[in-house]
Amino acid sequence: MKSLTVRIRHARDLRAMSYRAVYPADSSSFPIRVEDPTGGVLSEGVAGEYEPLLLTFADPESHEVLYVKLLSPNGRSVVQRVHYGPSTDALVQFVIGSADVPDWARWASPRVASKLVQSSEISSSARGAISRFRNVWVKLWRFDEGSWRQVAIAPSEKEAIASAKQIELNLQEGSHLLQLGSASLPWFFVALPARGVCRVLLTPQRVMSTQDIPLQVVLTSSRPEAETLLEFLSRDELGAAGSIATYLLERKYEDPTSAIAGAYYLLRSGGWREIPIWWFDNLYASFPWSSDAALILLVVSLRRGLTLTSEIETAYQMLSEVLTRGLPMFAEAHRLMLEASTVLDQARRAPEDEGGAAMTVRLLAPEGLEATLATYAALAAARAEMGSAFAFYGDFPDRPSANRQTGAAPERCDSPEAGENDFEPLQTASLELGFTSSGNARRARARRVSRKTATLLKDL
Amino acid sequence: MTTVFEAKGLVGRRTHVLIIGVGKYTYGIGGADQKPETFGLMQLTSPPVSAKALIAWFLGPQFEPQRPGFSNPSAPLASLEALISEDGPVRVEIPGGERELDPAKAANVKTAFNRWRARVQADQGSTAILYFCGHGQSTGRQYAFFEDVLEQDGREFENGFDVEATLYSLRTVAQDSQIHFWIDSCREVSAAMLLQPDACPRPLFSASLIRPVIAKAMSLLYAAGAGQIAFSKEGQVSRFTTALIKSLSGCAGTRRSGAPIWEVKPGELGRAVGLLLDAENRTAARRQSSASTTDAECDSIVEMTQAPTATVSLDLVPEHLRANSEVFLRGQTGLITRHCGNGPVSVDVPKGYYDIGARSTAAAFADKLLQGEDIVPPVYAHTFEVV
Repeated sequence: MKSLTVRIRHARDLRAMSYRAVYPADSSSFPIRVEDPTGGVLSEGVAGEYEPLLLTFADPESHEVLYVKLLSPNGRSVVQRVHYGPSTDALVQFVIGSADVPDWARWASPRVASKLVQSSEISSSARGAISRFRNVWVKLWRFDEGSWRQVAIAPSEKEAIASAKQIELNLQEGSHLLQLGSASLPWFFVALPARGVCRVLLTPQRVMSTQDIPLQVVLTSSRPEAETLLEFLSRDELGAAGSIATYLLERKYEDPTSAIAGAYYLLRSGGWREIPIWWFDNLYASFPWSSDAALILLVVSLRRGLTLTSEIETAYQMLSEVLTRGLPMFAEAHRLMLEASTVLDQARRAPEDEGGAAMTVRLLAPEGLEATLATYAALAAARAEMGSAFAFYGDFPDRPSANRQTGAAPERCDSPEAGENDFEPLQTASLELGFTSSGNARRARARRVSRKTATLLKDL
Repeated sequence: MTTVFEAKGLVGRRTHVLIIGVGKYTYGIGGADQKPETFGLMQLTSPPVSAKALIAWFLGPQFEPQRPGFSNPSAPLASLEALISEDGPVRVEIPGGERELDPAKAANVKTAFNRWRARVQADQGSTAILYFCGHGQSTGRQYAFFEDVLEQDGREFENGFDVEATLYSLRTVAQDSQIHFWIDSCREVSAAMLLQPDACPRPLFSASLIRPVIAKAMSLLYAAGAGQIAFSKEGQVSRFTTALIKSLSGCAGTRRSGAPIWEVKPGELGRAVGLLLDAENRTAARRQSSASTTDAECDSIVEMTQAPTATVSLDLVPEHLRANSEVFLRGQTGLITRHCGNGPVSVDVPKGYYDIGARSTAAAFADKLLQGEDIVPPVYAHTFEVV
């Protein structure tokens, strides 16, 4: 019998002794995979700074040399070799990040594609310098009483190094969006965590795929395991996500982020079949402001099959409720919104010889369904890739657009009935979809009502 | 005829494949019956070639067991339906002869799809694979177009199918099955389709809301990211399908724990295809990135008894130190040493962990060693910088 202990240590400046009280979110756990020299997986688990992973191997002959792989949510992996020799015990330690990353940015190190570096290591004109984005404008939006309103950005903390900028926001309960754009950066929205302190780190992104936005927005509400799980799901890394999910599901959900992350994993992994429906009902009821919670319950209901007409009616109502709660927080919702809207849309269109009850379904579909489906379609077409965060392109929160518009921050021209300081949403906006409207949009006397302007990144 | 292959007498989990390749668009630009409004749909030369390449890959071992191609003793190939549209009759080689395929017109596809679906439904726990190569457009939902798209005025997009809706419907009728869709088409957002949702193609099969999901797992692998374009060279197998076949042939293989079996699962397949496309992006004029999503842990699509091999390319700089230098690689194949006086050295080795290094036979520089490098197909390259 041989044993292996895997430890995680977060590189930090030991002079900052109080860092943990201030920045607890950098103590995340990571999936660990132990492989033999041919790449065969011998064991998997999760290691954290305060919970090392302990493994034993029953067949010592063939495990003279092992490879221990740490899977990072940024898509990279780090490997260490273990050579037992005459010993039967081995210890592997992974050091996350580097000591020269400031404490406030340490939480983001495993999640960003580029290296976070101090001023001395980078010139302001370099590709990895955040100053390249100094003229990016930023807006904060809050979903309030059924519509999106721009609110002032009032960071409680601001930090910066050459390659990154971070703001800390204290958010009320409910749906929030951060919008960014510039003359060269397409206007996009990123959903923020639900409530409480949210840290937003902005750093240049090495463009790897055709879908990447050159400015990476990384978010945390100090729920490291849940956030790591969601990052792996967004990368379609179900194996790595599974290790973290097992770890997470063994603990109680006391906050919405962890509960919703767990539920999203159950829906991806097939685990939803083993969970009683009341668990998802509770999730929905416990977080009445959460669009994600409504979406999760809707998809579970659809996957279980709807046998009663009342269930079908409820499903169509919930399709709308997902949007009346604001917007989801996590990218995983894009998949589920597509699934729910597709299934419910097709059910009413199916020929009688295929789907059977299409006529019944058509009768049960509520008024306004077309507009709801159009909004779902618009969000799907406007989808932006920003890690585990729900993100989409567009000029206003209620006007997701497949077009990647650039330029100065848009200002809404709207009816004179709109409030002095707010933006009244366009009722038919979701039908415009970034293309020429069919002409149904309200043709009110346009008047600029904006009183709030965007903030430039350099001023944050 | 669309049934290219059908094996009788197999028991246990089986694999059923449907391949659709559309290069000819009768009503598109340059088509025999071009419509005034074509929505930019032109004739394509790659999809028939790509579809034939994938058919040949699936059938390879059916001609002779050593020929490269689909292998999965846990879920052997039980059937293959194929439809290809190009100018003139389409013939493919099958064990014992040739078969002329039906064109990928909507009615033919629907018939073939229903035959394929019936087999999948009848085979509890089967693996179902649908491959499409041809024109596609998106409204957020993905649509794929058959040869006779644009035929109906006012319902121009009817002769195609809604990819996601078809997949979601199949989940409700294929007990314990694992359903994989590989879609090699563009995913640009279509303004015309967005503004006319009723004109969009329907799924090849519609499910009722009453039915629960009973399939075990599903995966969806797209040749392009949302809103993006897929590419190919004129008359050649497309970039995505090339990467797909390479990945299925071993690049995406991982060793099953405790067994000398290398298996390709959907998650690894998606990652391998993405990496191969990324590698090509370094030199290609236009970038292409795939997108994949997997629901639930799947069984293997392919199983092999031989480890996939990677080409390891080692070099050292500055060049003037190459003359009396050697690079080495140490791992499951033992120690392999090569002089590098003539430039980069290439060695094919089985996937796995290796120590790699460089040393000077004239003590011109200090030895270099990288321990435990994870060598993953298709290519691993490293240049030692020695001073």
